Amino acid sequence: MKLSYAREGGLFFQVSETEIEVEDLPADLQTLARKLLENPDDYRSREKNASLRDGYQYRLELREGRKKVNLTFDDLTLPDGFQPLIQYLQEKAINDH
Amino acid sequence: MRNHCPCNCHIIPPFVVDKLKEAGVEIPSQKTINREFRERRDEKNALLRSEAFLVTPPIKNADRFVYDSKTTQHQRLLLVRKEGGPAAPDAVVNTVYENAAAVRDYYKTALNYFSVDNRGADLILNVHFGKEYANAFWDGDEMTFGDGDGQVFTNLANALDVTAHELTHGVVQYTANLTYKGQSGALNEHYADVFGSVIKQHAKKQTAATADWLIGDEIMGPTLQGQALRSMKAPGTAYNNALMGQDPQPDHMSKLYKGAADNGGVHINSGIPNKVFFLVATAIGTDKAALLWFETLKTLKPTTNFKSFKTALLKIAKKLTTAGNVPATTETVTKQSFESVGL
Repeated sequence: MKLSYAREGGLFFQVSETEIEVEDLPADLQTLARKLLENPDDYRSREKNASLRDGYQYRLELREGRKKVNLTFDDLTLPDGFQPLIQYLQEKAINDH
Repeated sequence: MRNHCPCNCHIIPPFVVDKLKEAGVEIPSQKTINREFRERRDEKNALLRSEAFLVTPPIKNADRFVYDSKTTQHQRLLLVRKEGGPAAPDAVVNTVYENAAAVRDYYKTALNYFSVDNRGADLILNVHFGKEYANAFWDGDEMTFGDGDGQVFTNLANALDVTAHELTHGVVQYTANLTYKGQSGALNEHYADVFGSVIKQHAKKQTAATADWLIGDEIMGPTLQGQALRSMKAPGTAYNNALMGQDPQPDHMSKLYKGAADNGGVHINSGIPNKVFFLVATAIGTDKAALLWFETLKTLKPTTNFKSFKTALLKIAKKLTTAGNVPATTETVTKQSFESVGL
């Protein structure tokens, strides 16, 4: 299973992107990624704040075989418990760069 | 941040919860926070639609409220300082509190505009948002600042121009409400930079000639000293390093970014009107240019593009010149400045 991550936005123009095999994530983050793929609607952001200025937009894409899940969040709609996953992916994106 | 957990547990680390409880602070669950937030917003929207509001708009005092997010991604978590209250033990809290006053006072004194909505709305400031969160934002209601990652940025709440930038997004929302996409979005960012720089110059008692015209230079990490987020004087030259890449801002319409990223280049193409403001301020003085820009803001439509922005500015320049509020050369200088960037 493959996980793609992108973060755009912020006070200045910046795009951070990375991709990882879910099996290479730490165990707790693997569990979260699998839950995401199985039940994406539990995590999908229902409201978009059109007034957000300079905030980050986060995009996660999970792919396994033919199954593909896309999720988009901003700083205020990012679900609780996602911060460790985002931090891990962001650090990887910086190191990849 | 939303809580999708079926229980009422917290993302706030247990040790933080314990400390808050020791301090006598009752921690609301995220569901409660979300409900309260929705209720506040519903009340505000109902008030805005009410007849009473239209007849006698309520006036508040633009009071400041500083909240500590305790490195979580929750807003209004712990109130640590409010208007007229004693200083907090946390220097970051006191700095953002003072910076918000500097911005509020400039708008009131120089531009006769009171808080973000000209009705004295409370100024809500959240600090220590997220873990090593290297950003700051306006969300339609309040300002939020991260501590920085210590590499690219230090604490974002410490810089006056960053606070002025974010608060100005609020002012724009309540005036022209420039659509945050393409050229109107770039104008939204441009206005935030203009008043970021203008208010910093005012606080430092600088003139257009002595100012550095940099945005965010005071929050740059230790290895990036001397660089900044943007240069209004020389767009495209603010940074060039391994951590941030190279400043992509154009200084002329011939280099306009036409891609889809960054909402169609809102933080990129703002370099073009930024350069125009620098040129006009250099010719007529920063405060006069600020007055011209602000009076124009009140006349703009959400879909204003660079060309119609020029037309609107020239119209207001003529009006202010006739009234004797700006130098006689203002209209000519403004026209020439736009021409120099290809507009």
